[in-house]
Amino acid sequence: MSSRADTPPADDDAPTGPVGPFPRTQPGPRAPALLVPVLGGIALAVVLGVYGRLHEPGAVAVNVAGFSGPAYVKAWLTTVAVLLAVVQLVSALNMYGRIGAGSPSWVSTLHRWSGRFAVLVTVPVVVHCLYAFGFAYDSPRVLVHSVAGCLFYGAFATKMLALPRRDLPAVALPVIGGLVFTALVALWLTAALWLFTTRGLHL
Amino acid sequence: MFRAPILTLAAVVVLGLVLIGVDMAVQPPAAPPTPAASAAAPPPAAAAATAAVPPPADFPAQVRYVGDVTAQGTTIPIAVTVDGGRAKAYVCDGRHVEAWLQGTAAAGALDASGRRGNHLTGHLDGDRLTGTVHVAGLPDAPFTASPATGTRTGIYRQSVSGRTSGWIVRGDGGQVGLSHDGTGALAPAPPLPDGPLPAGVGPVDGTTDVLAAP
Repeated sequence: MSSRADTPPADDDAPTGPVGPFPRTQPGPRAPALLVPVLGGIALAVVLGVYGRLHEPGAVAVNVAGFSGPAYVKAWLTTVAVLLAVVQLVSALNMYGRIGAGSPSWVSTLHRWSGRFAVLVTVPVVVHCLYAFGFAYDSPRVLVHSVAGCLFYGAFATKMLALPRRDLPAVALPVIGGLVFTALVALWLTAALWLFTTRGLHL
Repeated sequence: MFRAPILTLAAVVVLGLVLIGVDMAVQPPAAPPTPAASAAAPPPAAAAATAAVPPPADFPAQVRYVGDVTAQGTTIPIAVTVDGGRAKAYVCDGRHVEAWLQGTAAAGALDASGRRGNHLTGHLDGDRLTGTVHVAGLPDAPFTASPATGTRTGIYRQSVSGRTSGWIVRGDGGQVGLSHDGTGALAPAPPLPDGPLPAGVGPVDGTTDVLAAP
């Protein structure tokens, strides 16, 4: 706006945009606004994958009282994350007006905090996965799980980096959020559900 | 609000790095599943493992190891008995994976084979036994086992009337067991009691032929 003020307005110029103390408006959403978040997310995903591949797996035993082993601790933490992710999906659909009439202000708070907790409970899981196993492709299940793990954190980082930006395409956040959700569900299906079905549903 | 997502991202990254750091700090002395062996594993052991310059230690005349195979996101109990240069090993998850192996142990290295191409190689790492085991139908998997602490810890086997059962009794008293009749069908073995062993059940030593037909 200040640069515009430097140029004397010409009466015969057609107005090219809103005048007055409006916030700047672009002709349309700028895709480059997504460039840094997407590159950041890709970088994190690649770093996780490369670390998982190069790091020599160590036998870490995190044994939490009450659970039958580290695998079950991880499976239940992931289950908690998926349940919170369902809260994420429902609250997001409400915020975008797809379900429910109106969106009370607490829904966005719920969305933020359920998302934070969902990601936080996955961190011990991914650390164990990365440190004790790494990126593996012994079987399709393990390969899908490894890829989904890198994708999940890459998409999550993209979402966090994109959120503060005000000039995103309208579909950006739903698409990135959907990607985070999909990756988490894939992680749960390929590990927790697999464990529960092959080793039994218990703590 | 403007920076909150960045803070969230930073918190997740920091938590992850802290946990990785804890894992790295815990790694050298941790001897799963019994990290209590603090006196036996001084931290420099980790450096010695990479250098591997000192001559390899040899196995004690008789020693039993119990630990875990890390396979496909879970752990499967493994027990190894070394008795006068003869090695016997049993991998058993108590549900649907078991493998009997036998072979030799000398100069700190262990090599054992079983049916269906099952194979195990291991070596001493400090007082622990680490290596790789191949069980038919599963990818090669690493294992780590620690010297047994309890008198009851180890491998037990029973072979009566065409049915072979095996148990791994862990240092904490926990146990897993599987039983088969040679047809390939596996069934959980009845848990061993704390008191006297049932008839026909004995600890596996150097003379036990763990590959004998049921």
